[in-house]
Amino acid sequence: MCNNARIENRIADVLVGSGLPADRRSEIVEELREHFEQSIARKRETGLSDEQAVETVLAEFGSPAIIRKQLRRQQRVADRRRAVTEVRRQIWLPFAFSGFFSILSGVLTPETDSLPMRCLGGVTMFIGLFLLMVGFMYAGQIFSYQVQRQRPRKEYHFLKSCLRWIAVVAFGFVALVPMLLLELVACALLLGKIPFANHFPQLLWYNFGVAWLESASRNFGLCTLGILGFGLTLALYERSRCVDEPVTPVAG
Amino acid sequence: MRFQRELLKGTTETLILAVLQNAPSHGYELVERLRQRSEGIFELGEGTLYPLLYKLEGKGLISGKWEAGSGERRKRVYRITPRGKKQLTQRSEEWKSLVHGMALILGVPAHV
Repeated sequence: MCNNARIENRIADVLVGSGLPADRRSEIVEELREHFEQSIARKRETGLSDEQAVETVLAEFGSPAIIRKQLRRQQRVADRRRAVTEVRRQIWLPFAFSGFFSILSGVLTPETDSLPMRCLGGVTMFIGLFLLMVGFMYAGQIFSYQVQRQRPRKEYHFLKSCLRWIAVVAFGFVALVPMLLLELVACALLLGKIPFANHFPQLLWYNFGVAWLESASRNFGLCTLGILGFGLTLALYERSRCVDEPVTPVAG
Repeated sequence: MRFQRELLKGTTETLILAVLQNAPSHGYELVERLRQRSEGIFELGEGTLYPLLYKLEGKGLISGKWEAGSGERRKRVYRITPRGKKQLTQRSEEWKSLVHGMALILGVPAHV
């Protein structure tokens, strides 16, 4: 294998599977290539042969797997930061959405409950929807970044991303825990007592089971499905536009 | 000289910031300057350098810009940002305190 090909292969080793965007990868290729050339030239000046110079430089460069891991980690951090910025920019959307549905469902809908209890239900629904939608938006952003960088044939990655989405939906329901606690605190403050204080397991079941299955899930479930469907449609659209190709190692 | 990994952990970023404060550099030049300024004590592996540079760039402590080189190839030159300078000042202070404390305990003179 000629020396040039060895260098190119080492650069390709670093970048294959790094999950970096195409433009970033081409920049790194250019930068590393430049660096290798200078390092080799310097080694030659010290009296090493071409072969020895390349050998030394490659040895000094370190393990491609470790560097790839570091690059991938940095990309994940950058993706998260970008997603947070994007969600913050559009925070009005979950706010308005949750507000609208919680007012409809929790306050204006005629119920047998007294008004304070209906208000509490509305607050609970608002927080739940808000958290869930923020979670969806965040996951959707990360998902779209990943899909944009995937090769069209990498069905595995796509499936993995879908599973991650499902995990996010499941995680959204974990938001019920702080909601329940908040509801208890609100009850204690507004009504002067904690309802069902002696029946905490039943209360848990009520909040996690009956209530969500019976009333809240009507709107909640529909909204969840709507967001999921919309997000997946967007993701599929993004995927259809994938043009990203991996850096191909140079044959020896 | 070979240092224990734990001893060097977290210091490499400071070293890069310090070198870039003197003058903007591209990757290879940075390694060379670091080697020269430390009189050969710090031999930064190239494979370690680039992920660190990208990390610092991501944090906004340095900025990289492509510039035309002497040959056909262009080079990515890194500069320290105002935020990076602030971070470097803070880290230098921390480092001075650490060296002072270590010198007192070990009973060796601290040349800072």
